Amino acid sequence: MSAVGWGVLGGLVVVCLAALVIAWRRSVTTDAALAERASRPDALRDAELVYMERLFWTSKPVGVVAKIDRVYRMPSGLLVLVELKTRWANQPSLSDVIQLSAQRVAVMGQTHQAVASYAYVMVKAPTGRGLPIAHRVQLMTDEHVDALVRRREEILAGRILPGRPQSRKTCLSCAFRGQCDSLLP
Amino acid sequence: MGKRSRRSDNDRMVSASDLAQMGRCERLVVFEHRHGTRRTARQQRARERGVVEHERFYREGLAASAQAIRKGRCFIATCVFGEGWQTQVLRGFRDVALRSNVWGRRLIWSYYRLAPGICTCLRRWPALQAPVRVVLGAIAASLRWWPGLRGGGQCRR
Repeated sequence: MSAVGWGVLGGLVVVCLAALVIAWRRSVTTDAALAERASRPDALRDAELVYMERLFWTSKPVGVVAKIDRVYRMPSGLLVLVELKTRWANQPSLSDVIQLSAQRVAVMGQTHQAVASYAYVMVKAPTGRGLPIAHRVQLMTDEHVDALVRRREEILAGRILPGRPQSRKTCLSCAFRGQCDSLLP
Repeated sequence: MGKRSRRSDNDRMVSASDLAQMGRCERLVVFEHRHGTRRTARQQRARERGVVEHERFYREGLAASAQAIRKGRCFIATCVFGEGWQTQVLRGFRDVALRSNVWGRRLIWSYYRLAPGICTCLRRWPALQAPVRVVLGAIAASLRWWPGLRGGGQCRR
């Protein structure tokens, strides 16, 4: 084969490789976008994803700083919070509700936009496969968050005795389990 | 989420994840405040898995946003101006002025239904783009001086 023939062949190979790389990158992006679509709760089907992994903070009514996983804006303009959790238990917990309620206070305080009184906890099993399952949770009011922040401050200042967890299961996985009774009365 | 609280000039700030510990165990809140965060090997592994999943969740969100923006090009301003300042001003007006009231949201909803069809016509008959550009350009130029849009609106990302 002549030098021109080799050149043409080489050029064709380069073009084919470039096309393959572009197609692969597009398919990765499309797959990720499809996964986001598929994992969305039905109620957020028409919503627009407006914030991701962003820090919000407010000093009023209480000082709260929160990093949100995702915030969607409904066609009505209402913002809806979404939090991802990786664990085996496929259900939201009280700590998720408190975290999302604090996030709501921070987002409302910083953006002055209306944030829904409900949110979604996306629970994903730690297998690395499968889509997260969305659970709708009702959030605490601003007054409840305020009261909780103040209770935490009182506990840390030693003015109130801290309560024990409702479930003994929590204690089984606690790193302070051995010293729990000796460190606190 | 960082496990730290920070102090502003007057108020003590608490992070949402620190506050969430109150729902798990109040005694743990005190221990972590006094002795720092302590994790078992199992908790550490779970945390690392969580970080990986969060990164994937973030990438999926980014891809979905990018796709939504590409699809957003069908709307009239983007169709005739591209990503010019006129488009930014009109988006700002949509988010700041129209989204904040019921009639504005209805107008946005109606616009979203009509705009893709109009964009198809504008692409098919490019001669129509010139008058649309003049009209929208004039509206955008006048809105640019509207005080509500000064300082930047919450535009679509």
